[in-house]
Amino acid sequence: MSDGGAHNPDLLALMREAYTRGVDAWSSALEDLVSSEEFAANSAQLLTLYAQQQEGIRTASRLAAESLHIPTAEDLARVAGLVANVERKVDEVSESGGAVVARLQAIEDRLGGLATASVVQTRLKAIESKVAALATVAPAAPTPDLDARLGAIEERIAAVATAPAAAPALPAELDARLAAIESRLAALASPPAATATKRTGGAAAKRTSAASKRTGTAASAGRATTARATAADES
Amino acid sequence: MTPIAAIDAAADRVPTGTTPRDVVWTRNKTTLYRYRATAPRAHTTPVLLVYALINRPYILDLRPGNSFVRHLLDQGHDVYLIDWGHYGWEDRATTLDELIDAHLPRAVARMLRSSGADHYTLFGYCMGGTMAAIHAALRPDGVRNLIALTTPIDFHQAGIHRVWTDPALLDAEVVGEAFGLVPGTLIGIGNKMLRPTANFVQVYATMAEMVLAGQDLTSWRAMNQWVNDGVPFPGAAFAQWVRDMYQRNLLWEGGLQIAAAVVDLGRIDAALLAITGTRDHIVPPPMATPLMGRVASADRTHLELPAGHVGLLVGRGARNGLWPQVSDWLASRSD
Repeated sequence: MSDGGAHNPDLLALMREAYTRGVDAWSSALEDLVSSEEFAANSAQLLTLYAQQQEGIRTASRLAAESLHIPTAEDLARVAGLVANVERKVDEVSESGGAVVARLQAIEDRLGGLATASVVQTRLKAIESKVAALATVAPAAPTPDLDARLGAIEERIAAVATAPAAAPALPAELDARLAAIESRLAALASPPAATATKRTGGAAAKRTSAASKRTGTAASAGRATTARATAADES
Repeated sequence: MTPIAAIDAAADRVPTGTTPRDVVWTRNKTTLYRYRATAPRAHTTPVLLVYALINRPYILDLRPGNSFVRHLLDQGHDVYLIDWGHYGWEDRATTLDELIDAHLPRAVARMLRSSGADHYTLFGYCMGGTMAAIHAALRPDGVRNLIALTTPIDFHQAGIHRVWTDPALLDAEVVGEAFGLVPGTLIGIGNKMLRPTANFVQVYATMAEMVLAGQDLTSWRAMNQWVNDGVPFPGAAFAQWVRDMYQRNLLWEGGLQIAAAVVDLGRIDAALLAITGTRDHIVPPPMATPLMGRVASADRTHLELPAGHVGLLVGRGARNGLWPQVSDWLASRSD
């Protein structure tokens, strides 16, 4: 007895509810199944059998077609292969042609460069002829100021070139310090050498002798080396 | 629109990859596209988008308002895309060597010629990132920037894929030879099986909710269309990908040879931006992150975002997350 539809189920909603509740579990179970080695083994075997069956059907079809003198798939494929080969050769020729065009373009670019070089040469020649023309032109009257300054410079150069080299005057303090150092060196050079310091003293004497031939800065370095050797011996 | 009509309309194809572009070069099924500028050119370094051999590359340009390509164009970049195409029976012997050693370098040369640049940015997504990284390692000259989006490098961190491709269980060469062309649907099912409930049930439950709520299904349809728009994978390349990468891990552990040249990721010296998603179950972060420690690049950035493998690139989260961060990173490295 009908009750006005109050309890008529919405089948679609029920199906949707059942699907939503179960889909995750189904998914998980199926994914576990397909990732198993048993499934892999069975599906690989099935795939191989199916492929071999397809090959068998194909072979039978080919034999039947050949017996009826009907073009087979292999015949059509052979023709298609010939077309593909021709296309490949055309492509190779086209590519070679493109390479030739590229080389011609490179040659043209180089020729263009040469043309540029000849333009530069022409311009250089024009500049040279202008310079030559300037050289033949009578020099303009020199400006008085410039002439006087040039003359003063020339006199100073001449004076420097002919005057004897005069030592520049040293500041008084520096002069006194240098004099003190020289007197101490003279004192060091004269005393008798001790046994322990013979070899170093001799070496130092050689260094001092060599250093005395150098400028003041180098000589003082040699004298410092000698002082250090002597101090080391004394310690 | 009634629910029945909406579901019926959901089967129709949605226009995707609609940003205008021109063909620059083709070779067999490979096509190099150049997108037409939508804003004044602000950067001189062109960007080459390298996609995978799995699914189609229009995920990079899914819909108006949901297009990473359009975003880059609006930022003033010169954008190119290499589309590997839809393989036929005649391509079953195509290997990764041919694509990486012949097609990709030629595409790069044509791109540089058409753009007038001598340096470029490589942007690789997933397997496309692996191919781009290998190219950058073999031919580092000219690569100014490398952006590796969820790019598998250490394949022994592949999670469930590693279990499924166990060499004791799966002989990739037998499968590749037997199929000739591995069907795109098969690879799509393989990826969906990583999250079976989400990919086989939840996606349609979501559609049902949207229909009942009267919401526009266009975005859902575009994404669903792309997910189910797999392309055939040449058997030889499939065997090489599974054997050398997943089973032997040669790219990471060394010894991978492409056209007789040993691939050394340490030769990559371009500025690197490696991007991973914390919820990416196809390329988990431990599978992609190791690239950061292997390259010789002085300029290296790792960007990790709370998104999945596809959610990183499309949707509202991508518009506010990945896109501006990538374009900001590129802006200072593209002139």
